[in-house]
Amino acid sequence: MQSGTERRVLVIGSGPVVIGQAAEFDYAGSQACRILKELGFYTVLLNSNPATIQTDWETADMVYIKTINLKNATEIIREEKINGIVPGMAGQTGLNILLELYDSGVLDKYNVEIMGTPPEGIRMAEDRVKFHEAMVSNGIKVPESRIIHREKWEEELEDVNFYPFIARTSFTLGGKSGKILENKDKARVFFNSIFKNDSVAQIEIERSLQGLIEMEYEVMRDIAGNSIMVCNMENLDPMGVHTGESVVVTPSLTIPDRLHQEMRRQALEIAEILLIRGACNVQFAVNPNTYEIYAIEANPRTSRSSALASKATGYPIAKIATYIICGYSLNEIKNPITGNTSAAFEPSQDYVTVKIPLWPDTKFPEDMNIGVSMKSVGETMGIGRNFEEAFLKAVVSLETDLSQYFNGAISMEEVIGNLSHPNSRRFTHIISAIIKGMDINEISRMTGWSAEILSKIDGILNKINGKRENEIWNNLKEYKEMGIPDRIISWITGRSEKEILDYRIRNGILPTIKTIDSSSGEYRSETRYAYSTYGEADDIEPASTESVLIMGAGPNRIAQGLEFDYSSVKAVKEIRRMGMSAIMINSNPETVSTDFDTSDELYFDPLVPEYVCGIILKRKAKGIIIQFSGQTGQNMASIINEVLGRSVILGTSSESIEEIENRDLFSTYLKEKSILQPEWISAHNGHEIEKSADSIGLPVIVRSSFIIGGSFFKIIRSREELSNYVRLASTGNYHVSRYIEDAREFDLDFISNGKEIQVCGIMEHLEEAGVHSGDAISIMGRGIPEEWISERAIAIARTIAIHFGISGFGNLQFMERRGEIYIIEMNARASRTIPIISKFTGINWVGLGIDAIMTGRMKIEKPQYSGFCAKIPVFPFDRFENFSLSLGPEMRSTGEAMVLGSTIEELREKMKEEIGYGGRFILYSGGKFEFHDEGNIIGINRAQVSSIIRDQGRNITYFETDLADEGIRGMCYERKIPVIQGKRAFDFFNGQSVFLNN
Amino acid sequence: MRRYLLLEDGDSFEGKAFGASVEKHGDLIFTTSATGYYEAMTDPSYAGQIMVFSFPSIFYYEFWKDKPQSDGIKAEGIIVKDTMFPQGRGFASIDGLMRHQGVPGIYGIDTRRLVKKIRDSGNIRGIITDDPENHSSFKDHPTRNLIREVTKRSEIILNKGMDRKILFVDLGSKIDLLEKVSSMGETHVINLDSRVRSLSDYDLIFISNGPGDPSDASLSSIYNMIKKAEGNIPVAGVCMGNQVIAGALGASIERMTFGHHGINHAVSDRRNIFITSHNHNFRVSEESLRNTGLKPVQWDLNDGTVEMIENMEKSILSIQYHPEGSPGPVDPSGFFRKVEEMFNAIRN
Repeated sequence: MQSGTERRVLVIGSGPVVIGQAAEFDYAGSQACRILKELGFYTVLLNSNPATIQTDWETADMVYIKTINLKNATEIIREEKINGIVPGMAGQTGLNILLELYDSGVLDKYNVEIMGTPPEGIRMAEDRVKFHEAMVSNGIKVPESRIIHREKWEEELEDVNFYPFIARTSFTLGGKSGKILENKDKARVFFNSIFKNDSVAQIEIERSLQGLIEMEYEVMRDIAGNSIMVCNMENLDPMGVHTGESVVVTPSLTIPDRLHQEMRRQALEIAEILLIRGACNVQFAVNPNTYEIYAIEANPRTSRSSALASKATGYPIAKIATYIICGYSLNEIKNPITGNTSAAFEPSQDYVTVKIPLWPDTKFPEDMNIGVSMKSVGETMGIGRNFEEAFLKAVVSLETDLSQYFNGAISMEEVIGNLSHPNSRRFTHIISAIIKGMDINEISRMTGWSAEILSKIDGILNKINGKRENEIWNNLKEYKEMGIPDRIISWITGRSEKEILDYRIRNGILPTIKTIDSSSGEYRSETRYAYSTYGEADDIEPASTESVLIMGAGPNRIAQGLEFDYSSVKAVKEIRRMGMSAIMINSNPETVSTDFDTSDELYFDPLVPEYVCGIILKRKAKGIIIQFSGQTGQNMASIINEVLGRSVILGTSSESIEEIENRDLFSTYLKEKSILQPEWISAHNGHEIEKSADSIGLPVIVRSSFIIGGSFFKIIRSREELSNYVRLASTGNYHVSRYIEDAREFDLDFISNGKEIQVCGIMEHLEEAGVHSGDAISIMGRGIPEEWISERAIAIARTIAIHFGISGFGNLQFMERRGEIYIIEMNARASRTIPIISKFTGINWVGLGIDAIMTGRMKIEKPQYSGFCAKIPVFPFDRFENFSLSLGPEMRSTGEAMVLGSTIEELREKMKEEIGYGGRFILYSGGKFEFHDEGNIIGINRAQVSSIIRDQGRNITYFETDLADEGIRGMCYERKIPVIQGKRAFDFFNGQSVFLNN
Repeated sequence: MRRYLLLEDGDSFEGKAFGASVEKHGDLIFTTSATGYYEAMTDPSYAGQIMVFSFPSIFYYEFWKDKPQSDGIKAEGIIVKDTMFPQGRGFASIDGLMRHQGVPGIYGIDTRRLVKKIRDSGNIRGIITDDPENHSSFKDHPTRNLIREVTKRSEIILNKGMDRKILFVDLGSKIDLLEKVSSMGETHVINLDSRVRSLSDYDLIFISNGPGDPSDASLSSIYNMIKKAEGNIPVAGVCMGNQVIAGALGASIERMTFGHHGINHAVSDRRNIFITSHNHNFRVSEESLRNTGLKPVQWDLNDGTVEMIENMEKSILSIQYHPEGSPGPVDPSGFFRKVEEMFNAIRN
């Protein structure tokens, strides 16, 4: 960039959270914006994802919350006089938009410098053929590959001699649409079906390296050509399991130095070949016996792995990459974690980290086989002073009840059946197999996990497995020092976690605090990035100022994701602003909250009572704020209070949380206050469900405590559906409630000090009540909802807040039907919608909430805003097979986009742009089918619907209101066209009826 | 079984025993490398030292997957954090070897506290013992001639018949260093007590790495040899070899607080940076190079330690870190190529 000109930089964001592209880009992108601003650049951001810290007004000089496309990016470049663009912090989305801008000549026209790896490098990395050519000509070994073209695939397939191979398309997110084909017959069937799809012109195939060890290397390279390896990562699952689906250890444990050095050398060379500026992730397949190394792929940008590597080593890759793309060379940059050493070095660890993916297996239970395509939605990382501790901490961080795998309750048949067919329960089946005493070599053969690793897991689990109770208590200190978390001890022995925790506190077996300094203690460092372990000396002393813990939201999962990270980061900032020391605890390596720069102290530990209580005790904290952690904190509130014996929960008390979370208690309360709610009855078996449904009257929603027929929730409309459900239902806890049809649903968020409430905003769902609030398109703006609805809802919220002494955030979900307000649910915590409402209103609601919690101060005002905003969820439907594609009470969206419009019409246009609904969709409304094709509306009959769906396939978004038409649903299902129920949404998009009452 | 590490300053660490049950004494050093443990343990430069691995789960793979750098473990004792011996296969393999070779180990101690202590207090001695009540005193351990201990190898000639002749002064060379150097020419390996009849028979004098103090009196014959060679025959060296060359030509050598031990150190030639493998407790004082004709050309990025010196007119090139890796990156800055160019230039 020329000196003298003002530097105006556009940073691209990654858009809504989808599988394969999630919170890690908020982490990378926020770091980039912060550094650019610090360096004095005028920083402009384009991102449609409202849940991010990146789109917070503090992050950039100018934030555009808009759909990320060529048109919008071009407009911003022109309007903002942009002269530099940063595409490398936004995953595939960033690279794609960069290439579009580059190819269309926009960058040239406006003289925009690409800050990062140039397009030639990106293309070389992204295009498998170019990548392979570049590697081969530099003497780097790659698996054989070829392109199969639509026109002559049969011919081309004849020449292929490297089976099994993997077939995939370029430019994938998380390795989507990859398939392993073992022989010619299977390949024939595959190509025959895939080339039926018009949009596929060619498929690249490459030798499958299934079963080899998969390794990743994180490389930084500066413009001068200096490069370093930040860390390497050993995937415990072999090749064939996507790295996003794999359990990953940092640093590698089973790779000898010579092999490691050769991969490291190749990784640096590959970064050079690809003209990398900034960060690059290189993946290898390696045969440890023959020393054969294959370069698999390289990502010329920050990635999920670079976020993990940053958290694992303390070396902030995105931050350093930002300095690099601004022209600094590695030796000119200080290592931020030590503050006194150079960024040009390779971090060393004196601990081990293990990452475990988290799959949405309760949301998509029919398709949880894992392989080359990514299905996990989040991950946890465990840090320990040995592998065993790190691994078990990561297991516990999943916040999932896995006791049956540890106490031997799973049958041997199930275990063996699952070991060789990897699914989302893979590592738990491995644990089960070990607990049951299966031979380590046999497990290793079936899973591809190394026997060295398995023997370590075997060693630690069998320390307590089958031990007598006395032995457990007498040796508890030793077990803790070996690295076994309380929850694991509880699962294996059946003793409650609280009992173990009480015993430890009584006997002074408390965690010690070690810090992560990127140099294993070789250099002095002021770092306050820490983790808990046992039996050693503390690295740091408690802060001298009053400190407050803030609980993060743990691993990303459907219904608890990035939105909570936004709120917890804002909470940390507010606590710091108030002059207190903010301590963050979280277990999710992807996030901004686990950036050591965010808080005064960061504890990377599982969100379970053991570590939470341990840190409160060790740090002598004033208390803990749990209301930004989603359900995680709510579930833990009472045990924390009981164990610590004092009121450490800052905000709504654990007793009130208990009463609100308990459906019976809360419902009784509503009845007492004559507040309406959909009628409901508890049931415990099929017979009782039937009886309840009869007494309430169909339709009903049944909620079960476990998965039945694909989900926890089911709307039952007919006798037939009821008898089907009853037939499947075993003994358990059920909740049968009236399903109120044709109702409108709303979300109301407020702040309270127990005396008064301040409403942050009310959002209305476009779909009918019954679609999960996370899956519904919802809108907010002037006149929404009608005055009388908001007045009555606010009055109810006030009554509830005062009764339960809500301190901080509350979220009320309610519906309106024919002039009546019904309460669906109340949450005594910040909701998913807080970031959106904050960005739309321009008010720091989290800051005000913290004020109410810490001081009881409330500033009551009516937020003034103009225009409208919409939250648009995105769904991972294309990842999973065999499940119903209709929206309902079970949340399935992974993220959301936000769009803004000054009028409702403008909002509608922006929404269509974001969803891509502008093109074609079929509407079934008022008993008639309509085909909407680029603005033209054609009335059609049912037969025409079938032919349109058949012929136009993927280009159609299908809307349906009549769920009874199973034939059309089946066709949509085969083609992965979402079926959305909700008449109001169609009306809104169609513009036929005015849904607002203004 | 319990085993103890007692420090000179009265501090002590208690852990569990592995390896041989024998009392050992040595200088404490720590290494931050997470791979290549057996290569490090067999590096003769570690003779006389108790080696602390800062990476806790270091013994994961079996030792024989690394390439030994000498005929056995040279470190006096081994200290590691890992708590789960004997479950690991790698741990079991190295335990057996250490028992056989009489090397004691302690596992399960707070190595991070120990590393920070070594970092802050610098050179510190320790005793590994099974009996904390009844052990030898630090005074009982006289200074040893570590170089002589690790260079018992008789004089040998490698790659006989190759065109160029190299005189390789073995002060305790790692096998991979000797292999790299000897690939360049017929190599006559000598030790401290060897007599060299005619220096002019050689095209290059190469001084290896080695343990102990580079200003030790036993090195005087090597110092003299280098002085004689200066300006006449190309001279190159690695690690202690570097210090010996600088010392012979008048520079002074200083002891560092806790040295460099690891495979992640960046050095800079003021244009580029290289990640390099280090193992040294001493360094050449930069100031003292002023009147030696040697000039520093690479420095450690963090503490400014001189990492490479040269006098191209007199064909002298030597390096403080380990270009042969083992463990660590192999020749990141092209040292061996430069050595080769240097003696090619002389011949032409």
